[in-house]
Amino acid sequence: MGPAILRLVGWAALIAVLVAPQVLLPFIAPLAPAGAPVLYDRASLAALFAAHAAMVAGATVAAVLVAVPLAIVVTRPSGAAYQPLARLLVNLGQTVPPVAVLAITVPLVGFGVWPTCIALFAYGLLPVFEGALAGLRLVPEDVRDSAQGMGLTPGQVLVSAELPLALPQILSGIRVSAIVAMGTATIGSTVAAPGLGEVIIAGLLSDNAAFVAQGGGIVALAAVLMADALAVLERRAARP
Amino acid sequence: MDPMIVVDAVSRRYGDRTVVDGVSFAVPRGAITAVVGKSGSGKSTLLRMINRLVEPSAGRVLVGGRDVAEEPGPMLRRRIGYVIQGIGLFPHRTVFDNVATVPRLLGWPRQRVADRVGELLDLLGLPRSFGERYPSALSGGEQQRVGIARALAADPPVLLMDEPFGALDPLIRRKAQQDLLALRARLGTTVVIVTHDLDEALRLGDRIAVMEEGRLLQEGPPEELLRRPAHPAVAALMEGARRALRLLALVSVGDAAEPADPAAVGLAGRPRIDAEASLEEALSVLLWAGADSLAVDGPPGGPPREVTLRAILARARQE
Repeated sequence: MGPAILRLVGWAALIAVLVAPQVLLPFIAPLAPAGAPVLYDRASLAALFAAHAAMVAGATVAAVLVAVPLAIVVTRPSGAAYQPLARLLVNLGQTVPPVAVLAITVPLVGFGVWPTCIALFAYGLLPVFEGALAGLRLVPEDVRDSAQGMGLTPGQVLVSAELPLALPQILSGIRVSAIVAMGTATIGSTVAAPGLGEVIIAGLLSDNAAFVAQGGGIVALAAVLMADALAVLERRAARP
Repeated sequence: MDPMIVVDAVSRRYGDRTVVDGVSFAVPRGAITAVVGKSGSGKSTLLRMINRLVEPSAGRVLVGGRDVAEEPGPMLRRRIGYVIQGIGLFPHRTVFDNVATVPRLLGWPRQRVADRVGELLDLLGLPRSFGERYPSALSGGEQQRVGIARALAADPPVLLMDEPFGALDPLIRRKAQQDLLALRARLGTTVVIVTHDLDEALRLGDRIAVMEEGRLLQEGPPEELLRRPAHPAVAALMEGARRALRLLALVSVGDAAEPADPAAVGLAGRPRIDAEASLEEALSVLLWAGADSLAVDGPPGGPPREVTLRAILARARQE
């Protein structure tokens, strides 16, 4: 029951910090310079967290909606020729650093949430695509062959055999993508996207380590809890 | 009677490689035709053209008198059972759900699906409690039986099998072959089975088709292939020197038995053999015992019968 208790403690801590940030006071007060505020007070941590999580969720969902269908297409016999192209595009998204994506997109879409979401989306495509590709490739040829031989249409083979069997790998790709997005979303604050990055940057600018600790700590805790929750889903999907 | 399956001048080319080259043969209703050949002889491709998993480049295939090209492949395949060496059970679904696949595709009501799955598990000698298990919890032989149950679920008139017993160990394999013969006798299913194992082909096939390099060398009853091979490669496959024994393996003791004189000396003390055994086995028992006749067991209630060395030798002789 160890992991369950740890999980419960983690969630309780996250909720407590968001709802009543003052519980942090005894832990981070020593980090603040003398006379400086210990708790970030320009916006509520809960609101920043919600905005942060919404960006991560939005970008990850968008990445899944693009990368999974793309992986499906390139694993069909008729789409196999596009696999190198798809790989190239998806890799490009991963190669260009999110900061560079921000620099490119801000002039196009302006400051705020959008450039950040685009950067997170581009960065998150690769793990989801590779996970889905690996999962679909792992589906045993015999399963596909017998499914077709029984009279399932290609769409039915996909939905009732290939996707369920590939689900653990697909979820694993989503997990990696979401964790990376959770951390990376903090840079959104450099282009005025609301999020926990704001707290960290405020701390860096005013030399206030207490701000950095609360912003960074919440992001880290949220990333760990999310990774854990997705890993549980993954294990569930992997069971026969 | 019309044949169940007609393969008419069927070819399949991949680029400039001809994998199946103008093959024609017919499978009588309720018969088992065994297609034998080495790997790469085109036998699997030939089988897959019957249910259109592979489209012929030329020629046509009739099943039950209808050209298979007339209806969409998936619809056609729901009426044709298909069993492969790798079985290909859905690992994420229970045995019940696996067997229920085709009936559900056909939109059967829930109760009818459940009844049918139970019936099939009984038919294949699997306990009904297996329905809740996942394939990974079954042995290879049990999985293969589930695979056959799944293929037979919608009561297809035709069953196609591609090396179905290739992955089973010899004892279980023998049992699976006997089960297939029993199933065929009970259901009257027309079967085409692809195998590289001549013994399996001779044991199961009412007719045997020999493939080499995409061509059909000879097709006919096993005895005809053994006695009159039409091609040196067929003769080689039948292993000329052993063909007398192979002929004996085709005949059951019951078919060669003669009424025994109850007064004959020592009838009761003679070695015995089951009427279901083959003459090859009977010969082996005779050689071992140094006897010249065996008492035949069964069928129950019949008059006493014997099988003699003389009768066995006559069956094995060149015509």
